[in-house]
Amino acid sequence: MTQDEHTLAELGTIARAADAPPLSSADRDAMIGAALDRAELARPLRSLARRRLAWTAGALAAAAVVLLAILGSRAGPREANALTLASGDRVYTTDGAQIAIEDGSPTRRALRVLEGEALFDVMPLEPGGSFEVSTDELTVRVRGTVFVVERRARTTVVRVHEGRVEIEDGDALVVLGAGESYRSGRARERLADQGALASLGREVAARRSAAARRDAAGAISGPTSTRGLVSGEPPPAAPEHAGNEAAAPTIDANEERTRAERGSSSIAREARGAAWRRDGEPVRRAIPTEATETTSLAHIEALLAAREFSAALDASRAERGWRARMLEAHALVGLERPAEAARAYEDVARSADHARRPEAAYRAATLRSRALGDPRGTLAALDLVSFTGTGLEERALGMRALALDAAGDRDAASRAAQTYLERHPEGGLAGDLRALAE
Amino acid sequence: MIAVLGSQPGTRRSHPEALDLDGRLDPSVLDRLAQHDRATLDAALRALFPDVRRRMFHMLGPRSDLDDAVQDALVEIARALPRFEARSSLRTFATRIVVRTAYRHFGRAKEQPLELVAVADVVDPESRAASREALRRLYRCLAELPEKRRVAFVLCCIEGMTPAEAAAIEGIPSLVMRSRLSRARDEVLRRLDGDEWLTELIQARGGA
Repeated sequence: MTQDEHTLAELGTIARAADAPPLSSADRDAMIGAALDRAELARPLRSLARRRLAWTAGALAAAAVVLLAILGSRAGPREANALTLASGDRVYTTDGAQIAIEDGSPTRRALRVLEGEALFDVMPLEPGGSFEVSTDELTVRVRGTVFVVERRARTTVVRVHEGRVEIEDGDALVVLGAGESYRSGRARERLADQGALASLGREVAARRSAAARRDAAGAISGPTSTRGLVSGEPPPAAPEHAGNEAAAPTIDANEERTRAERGSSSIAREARGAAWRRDGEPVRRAIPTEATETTSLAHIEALLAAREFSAALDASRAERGWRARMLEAHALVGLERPAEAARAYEDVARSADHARRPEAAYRAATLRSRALGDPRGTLAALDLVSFTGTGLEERALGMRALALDAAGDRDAASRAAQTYLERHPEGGLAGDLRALAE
Repeated sequence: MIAVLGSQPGTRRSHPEALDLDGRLDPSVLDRLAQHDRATLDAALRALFPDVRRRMFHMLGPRSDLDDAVQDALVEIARALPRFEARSSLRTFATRIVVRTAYRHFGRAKEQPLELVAVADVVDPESRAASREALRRLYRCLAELPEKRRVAFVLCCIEGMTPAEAAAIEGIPSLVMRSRLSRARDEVLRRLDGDEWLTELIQARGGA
């Protein structure tokens, strides 16, 4: 142990051993009782009787409110206040809106709209992840979409601009699609008032749709397969979160579509060469047709969507090719086997079609950083491909800077952080990377 | 830690229940929390109280407004418990709220004045007085750190969490936490460098 490590260890020991000032049981009971009373006071009103809610500074503080209060005139859609969460989700609000972040963990993001209007641009979720927005009237659960929640005078309106959301309103459960609106207590309805963030919502949705079309050109199976790598999920790459239009991918989009429509011709070529002799007789092995392969991969995707990860893993290992390997990696993530999943993604990054390699490499790097705490492994995964011009460029650059710093390479981390800040000054990691760039 | 709700007949707590802060809660307990059952909420807060107060003390250090911050955290926990869905342990759930509350109190410095202790006075490195003085100097140093690095230092170097565990509390990627921790450690060492009294104390403890 170095002297510095000894110093820090001793300081930690001293701090851990220190006792908080003594507190009588009576004082403790009083604190607990007061907390319960204040929490009760802030509960939503269920009865018809009206009483004034005491929005004291203490109650507001207890709600962990993030107040996006901007001085000056009311913000229009292009001047909406923006907040980027650590997860990469973006929240835009109008003046005076009050949002509480209740849970910001990587797998569960939960926010509460206390007052005002907020637009949510949600990152696609990984297996087991969730994103929900609550008000006192209802809860909205999403899987990667663009939507608005507006709460005024104890009424909540939800407007979906892209994707689908699930709304829990008392005993009712409603699924709302793009272009639809919902008012608490009154179900689905067409609202003339589109809200202050309507044009921003359409703009964000349009960017996501454009990105989804680019990603769909490299879809895992043929055109008859389920969209994306997991049924119902939009493609994982989300270039619009860079805060700017992602640069067009370096591969020609027409070429990508042609590849997808031909299906996995590489797998078919492998199978055609598999005839062999047994007992002196030529044996012709069944050649997997494009339709057969498509069906198999679609089946595996369906198993993943149903969270049957063990079955999906077995099925994917029975198939050949980088697409099956990608699904195998997804199944391993679902089974919480991050090391194996990272290796599987890295294999895909080395062998997949050009368009899917960045996604695979980024997923491997994410596992190595988050689940395995391995900065060197993270850097190795990021080095498998070039992210330049892809929708993952911003996040890969930010991840590289942090990994370099965690690995102890301060100079390289500082340079990488500076590059990130030059290209993405408002990016999701800008706050943390400014410290590295100093 | 497991707290048991009272089982005395005739009281509001008529069913013995185990409130496991680190494991899965009984579905009936989750149901009562969701229904804002005061007895269940009360039991949960009592079970969490020692942890909450100790963690807040580690976050803020020796400050006269410690219990104001603890009170704020308890209110927020009480408000959030009806929505607790047991995706994490109750202890982790409460720790996240404690950390969020601590952030709001970092800027409101009401720290006890630093008592000057001459180097020559440190004859017993294990004495309570010496430890109190070391604690004050440490928290005076932590107060100068950017808040996120301060939290990283407390969670990992004082609370003993791994960077991954601390990252889960903060809701950030593990790499971000590692970066914050690394910078925090460097900065603490830099700020305490030249503090002869503390250096002698730590050397003496190491040789004890």
